[in-house]
Amino acid sequence: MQAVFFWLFSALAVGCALGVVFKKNPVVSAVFLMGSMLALACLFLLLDAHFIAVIQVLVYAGAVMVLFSFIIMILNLPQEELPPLALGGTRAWGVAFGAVALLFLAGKFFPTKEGFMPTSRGFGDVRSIAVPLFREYALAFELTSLVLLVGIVGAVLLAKRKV
Amino acid sequence: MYTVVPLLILFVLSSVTAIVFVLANRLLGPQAMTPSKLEPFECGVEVYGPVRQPLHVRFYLVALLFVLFDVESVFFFPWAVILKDLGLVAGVEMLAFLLFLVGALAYAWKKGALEWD
Amino acid sequence: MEIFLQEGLVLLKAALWAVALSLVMALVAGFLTYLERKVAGHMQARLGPNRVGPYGLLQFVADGVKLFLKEDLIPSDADAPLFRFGPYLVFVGSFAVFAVLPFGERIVATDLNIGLFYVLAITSIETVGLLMAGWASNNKWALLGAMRSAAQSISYEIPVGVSFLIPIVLAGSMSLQGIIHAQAGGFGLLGWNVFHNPFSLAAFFVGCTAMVAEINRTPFDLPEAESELVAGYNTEYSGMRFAFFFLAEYANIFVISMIAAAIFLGGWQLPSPFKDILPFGLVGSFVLLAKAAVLVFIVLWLRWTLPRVRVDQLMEVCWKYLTPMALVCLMGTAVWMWAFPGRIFFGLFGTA
Repeated sequence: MQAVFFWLFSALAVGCALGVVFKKNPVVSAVFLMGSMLALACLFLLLDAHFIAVIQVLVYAGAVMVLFSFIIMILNLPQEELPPLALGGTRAWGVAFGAVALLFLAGKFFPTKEGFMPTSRGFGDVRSIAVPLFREYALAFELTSLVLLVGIVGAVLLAKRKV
Repeated sequence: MYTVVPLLILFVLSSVTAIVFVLANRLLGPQAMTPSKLEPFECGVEVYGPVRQPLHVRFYLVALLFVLFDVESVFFFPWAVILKDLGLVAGVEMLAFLLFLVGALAYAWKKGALEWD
Repeated sequence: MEIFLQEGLVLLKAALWAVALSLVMALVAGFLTYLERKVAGHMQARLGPNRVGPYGLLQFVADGVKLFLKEDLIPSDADAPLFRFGPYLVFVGSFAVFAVLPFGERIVATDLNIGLFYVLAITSIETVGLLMAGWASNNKWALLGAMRSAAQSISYEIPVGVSFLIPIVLAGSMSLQGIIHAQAGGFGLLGWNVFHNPFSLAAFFVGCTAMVAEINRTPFDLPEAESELVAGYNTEYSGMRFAFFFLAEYANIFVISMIAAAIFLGGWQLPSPFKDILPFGLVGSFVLLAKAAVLVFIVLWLRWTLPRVRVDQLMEVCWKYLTPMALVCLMGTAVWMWAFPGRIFFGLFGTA
């Protein structure tokens, strides 16, 4: 049953990701992005990583999506005002990098014969994330707050700049 | 895995319910479209100007502040769960974390980013 | 074979739960629309709905049938797929929260170990649904209403999240059942989180205020300020799609009341002699539902007592008052737990 769900959600995630790229309307793209995020969250759920799954929904499908939609709706650019993108070489580079990344990932993850590995008890629990976070990685945790501080200062500066 | 299956079924079933409801509405309700019914509602007068105009930047600021505070709160949750076990160490760590957060809030406050003007 | 049987049972149980919960949601939301009108009526010295069924109790059934018979309109300039998608998202989102609501000691669809966090995440999905609906309507009122609604919901999600943390700190668990279990003792009353310490008492009020604002209820109902924005994000909606927004709104009132009752007011906790009078801990379920009902009534009461706040006051209340207050409550609770480990406020004076 796990395998069925896995392929279902992977297909959904990839399909929605394609939708993000190929849809012309930015709001529709954003909705597809959310679909992709939700499918990813479901994949995390299948891995018993409940906490990560909910973070995926809360931060990406929720918060970041609202931010994206807000930006699209604030600008509200009509289609004809957008300058045509000068793609050309960029597209080729993109395809090349994508192919390399795909090959790398495929080589890394596909040849697993065991299928799904059973997880140990308590895996994906909040505690199994929290304890290392506040013990071994305490410094990284503190630095995160610094990064977020910089983010807030940047946001305020950008939005409150007197033009 | 078994905690998740009920959730997924719930999602599927609620979507199916929603679709069935809308289809039933389609079948039962009248279908008498007139051009004026299909116009955007604007209190009875002719539609004036484009609908999708640029909006105020303050929405952007609120959304960005929300994203950043949301990420902060993501860190709070694991902390809250294990506070009992780790005790003072975790408390002090979070206090330091919070100092930056409060500093950021104070900065936004002082800069007037929290005003809706 | 055995595996398949087991999985089949899990699926069957989940499907039954899903059907039961959808019935509960429809009934609760429907009943709340009736209750709101009845409460409003009596507060204004009217009778409220009293024609359909005894005391007008079947009013919501009549309303539901009426909505099914309405014309399903999609404005010609609207973005049709998104216009259809928005209400679904709102409906599914508000329904999904029911999955983790504890209805009793042994009655819960799925007790996720991240329950409260899940509730918070799903709420933000609903916000996206509102935004999509408002934008796709291609209507000035709808767009502005949706933007305001989303800005309000996301702002107030911060104090709500922080005040959720206080029960989590006290219980050491994010599961709603775990939090209720941690409120045992004190004759089923003093063990409540709200009485745990002065900070948790304050957090209860901060959290409830923020939750009322998060679901856009009066006095924080600016997105639907009918004198300014016609009806906000659902201006262009009719029939069932309109009903979805309405259902979600009323279901949300019930959800926040249940959550507040569960995480602050002791949930289904009872003094031990009363626990096993009825099977499945049903007495506890009734107690929990009664607490939630009182909170629901307060939410409805607020609407006829407080005038609507201004939009600048709205943002001020959230960022300058509720968020700092919630943070103070959180740190205060942490300090309390360090200073008086394992003791509640009333336990300081005696040996209770």
